[in-house]
Amino acid sequence: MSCHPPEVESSSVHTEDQSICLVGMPNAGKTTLMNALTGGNFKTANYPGVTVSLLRGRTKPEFGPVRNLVDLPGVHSVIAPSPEEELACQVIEGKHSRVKPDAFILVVDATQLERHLKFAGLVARQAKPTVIALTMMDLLPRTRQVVDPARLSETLGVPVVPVDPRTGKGVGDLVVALDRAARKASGPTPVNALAQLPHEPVAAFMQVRDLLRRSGSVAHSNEVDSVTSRIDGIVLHRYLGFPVFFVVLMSLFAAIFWAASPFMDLVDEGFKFAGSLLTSIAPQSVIVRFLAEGIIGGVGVVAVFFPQIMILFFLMTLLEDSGYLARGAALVDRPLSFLGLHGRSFVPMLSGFACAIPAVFAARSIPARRERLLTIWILPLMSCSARLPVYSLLLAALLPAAAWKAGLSLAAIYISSLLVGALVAGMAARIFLKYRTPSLLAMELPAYRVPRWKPILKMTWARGFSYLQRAGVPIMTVSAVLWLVSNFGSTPDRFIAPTPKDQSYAAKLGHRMEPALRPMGVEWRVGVGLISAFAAREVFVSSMAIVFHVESSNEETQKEGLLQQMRTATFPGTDQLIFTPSSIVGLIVFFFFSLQCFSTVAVVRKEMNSWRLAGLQLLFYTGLGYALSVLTVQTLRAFGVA
Amino acid sequence: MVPLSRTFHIDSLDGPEEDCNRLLDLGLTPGENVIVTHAAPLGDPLIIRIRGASLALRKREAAWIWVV
Repeated sequence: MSCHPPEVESSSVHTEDQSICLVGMPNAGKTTLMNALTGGNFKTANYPGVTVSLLRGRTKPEFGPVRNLVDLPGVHSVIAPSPEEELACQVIEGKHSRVKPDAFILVVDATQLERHLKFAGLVARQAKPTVIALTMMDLLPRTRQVVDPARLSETLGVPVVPVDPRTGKGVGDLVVALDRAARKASGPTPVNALAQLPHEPVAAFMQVRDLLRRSGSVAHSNEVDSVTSRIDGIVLHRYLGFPVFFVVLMSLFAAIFWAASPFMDLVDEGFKFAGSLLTSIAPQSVIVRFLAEGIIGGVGVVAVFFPQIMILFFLMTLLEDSGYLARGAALVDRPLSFLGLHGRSFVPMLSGFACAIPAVFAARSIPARRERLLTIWILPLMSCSARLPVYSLLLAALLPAAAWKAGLSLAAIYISSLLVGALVAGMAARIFLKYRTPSLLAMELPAYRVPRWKPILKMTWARGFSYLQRAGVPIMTVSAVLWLVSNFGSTPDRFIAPTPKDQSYAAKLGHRMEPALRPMGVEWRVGVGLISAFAAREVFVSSMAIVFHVESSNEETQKEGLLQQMRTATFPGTDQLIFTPSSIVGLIVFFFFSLQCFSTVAVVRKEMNSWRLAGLQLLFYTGLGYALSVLTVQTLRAFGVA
Repeated sequence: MVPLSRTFHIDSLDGPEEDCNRLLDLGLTPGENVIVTHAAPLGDPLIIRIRGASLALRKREAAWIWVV
C-alpha cells in the first residue's frame, strides 16, 4: 500500500515543496508521461476523482538522482478558469503556497503546436529551467503534418525532446535535457522566443505561427484526423449516437454492479472472518468487541465498496483515456445545460451512481462555480451503491414472492433518481440561482487513442487508494462512535456502562425520536437503524439485524433472518405489524431523498469551502425525505393500504 | 443550419466579453479557418476543428463567431 517509504522526508535536498512540474494543456499526455517518469510510483495528493488530478511522485532511479515530480491539471485557457485550471496557473506563476516549481516539463501535443505553444508562453515567462516534451508524434501522419524537433528547439530557444510516454521512448533524453537546462540556468537566464510571446491571444497566435514557419514545421493543422473523424461519425451520429451512449453506460453499470459483487462478497467475508476471529479470543471483553465490531466492522463497511469504486475508476480512466468521455459529455450537454448544469456535469453524475464522494471531486472540472454548485447539490440524489443493500432488503420485504417485481422496482428507483435530480436541478437553477445563461462549453474533444493498460491500472490504483484514505477515516470514525453509542448506556449505578442494545444511548435516542417516527409508520428500533445509516446507508441493514436480534454472521442468512423478524415484528405491547406495505414504501422514499452520509457532508463542505452549504444540503434532503416519507405513508393509509 | 465540412474564415467574435476572450485564447482568432465537422445527435453542440483541435461548441456560442 505504501508507495513512499519514510525516506521521503529525510533523503533529498529538495523539500517536498520543491518540485519539477509537468505542465501543459489537457490531453497532451502529461499523466502518461508522469507514469513513464516515475514508473507508476505516484499518488494523487488529496485530489481523487476522475478529472485530471494533482499527482505527486518521484523519478525512477534509472533517470539519475531522484527528483520530486508534480503533475499539474491541464489548462485550456487562463481566462475564466475552472478550479483545476486556476490551481495549475497558481503553481506555474509561483503563487501557490505549497507547491513551488523549480523546473518545468512542458508537455506539448505535436499535432496542435499552435495552441500548445501559445500556452507555453505563460510557462516560459517564469524564467525557470524548462524543456518541451513533444508528444503525439505518432499521430502526425494521421493529420498530414511535419514537425522537426531539432529546428523547433533552435527557433524557440527551448530544448525540445520528442517522447512517446506510452512506450517510454525519449523519456531518458528528456531528463538529460532537463538537467542540462538546469545547469545552464545557474548562469544568466537564456532569452527564449516563447518568453517574448505577448499576452494578447491574437498577437500571440500570430507570433507562434511565425515561429513555426521559421522552424520548418508544416502544419496543415485543420486536416481532420481520419481515424478520429470516422469514429466520431458513429459516436456523434444523429441516430446511432444515443444508442451507442446507452450501450456504454449500461456496460458500465453492469460492470459496477455485477462484476464487482463477487469481489465485494469476498471483502465482506474477509472482514467478517477477521472480526469473528478477534471476538473468539475474548467474547466477553468490551474492548475486543469494540475492536471487532466497531473498528474492523467499520473498516469493512468502507472496504466492501472498494472493489466497486476501483472498477468505476478503472472504467472512467479507460473511457477518459480513449477519448470517449468527452464525447459523452458533449452528447448530453443540451439537456444538462437546459437544467442549469453543464456538459461536464455528466461525469460527476455518472460517478454518483457508485458513490457521491468521488463524484463531488469530479465536479472540479466544471468551470463556473454556479454550475459546479448545482451539480454537487443534486449528487446525493443519484442512487449510490450504498443504497442498494437497503433497497434490496426493503423490496424483498415488500414483494416477497416476486423477484422480478423487485428487480423492476429497483430499476424504476434508479431511473427516478435521475429524473428527480433533473427536476431539482432545473427548479433550483431557476428559482435560487437566477439561472439566465449557461457558461461556456467550448470543450476539447481529444483524438481517439488505443488505451494502454499499464498507465490506466496505475492511475486507477492511485485514485482508488486516495479515495480509501479520504473516505476511510470519516466513515471509520462515525461507525466507531455509532458502535459506542449503540452498545453503551446509562445504568442505575454508572453513568456510562456497556449495555444491551435496547438500553443503549442509541435506543434512548430512538425512543426520544418515537414521536417523529410514528408518522412514518415505524418505531424506535427502525430509528436506531436510520441513525446508524448516517455512517453509510447500508449500515441500516446490519444495525436492523442487531436491534431485531438476528443472530447470524453469514450475510445471506442474516438477511433471511431479518426478513423473518420483519414479517412478524409488532409495535411493543400490541399485535400491530411494523413493516406493512405503506411503512416499507415510506422507508424507501426516505432513503431515496435523505442525505444519510456524513462523509458526503464532510467532502462537500471541504470542496465548496462552506459549512452553510453542506449543512443546508443535509437539512434539505433529509427534511425532504422525512416529509415525503410521512406524506407517502399517510396517503397510502388514507387510501386503505395497510 | 451550418453546412458540415465546409471551411469558414473567422471574421470577428461578437458575444459576452469574457466568453469571447476565452474563445480567442482557445485559438478562435479572426483570420483563422474553422470547419464544422459534426453535429451532436440533438443538433447541439457542434464539433468544430480549429488549429488542429476539435472543440465542442454550443450553437449559441457558435453564433458569436462571424465568418466570411
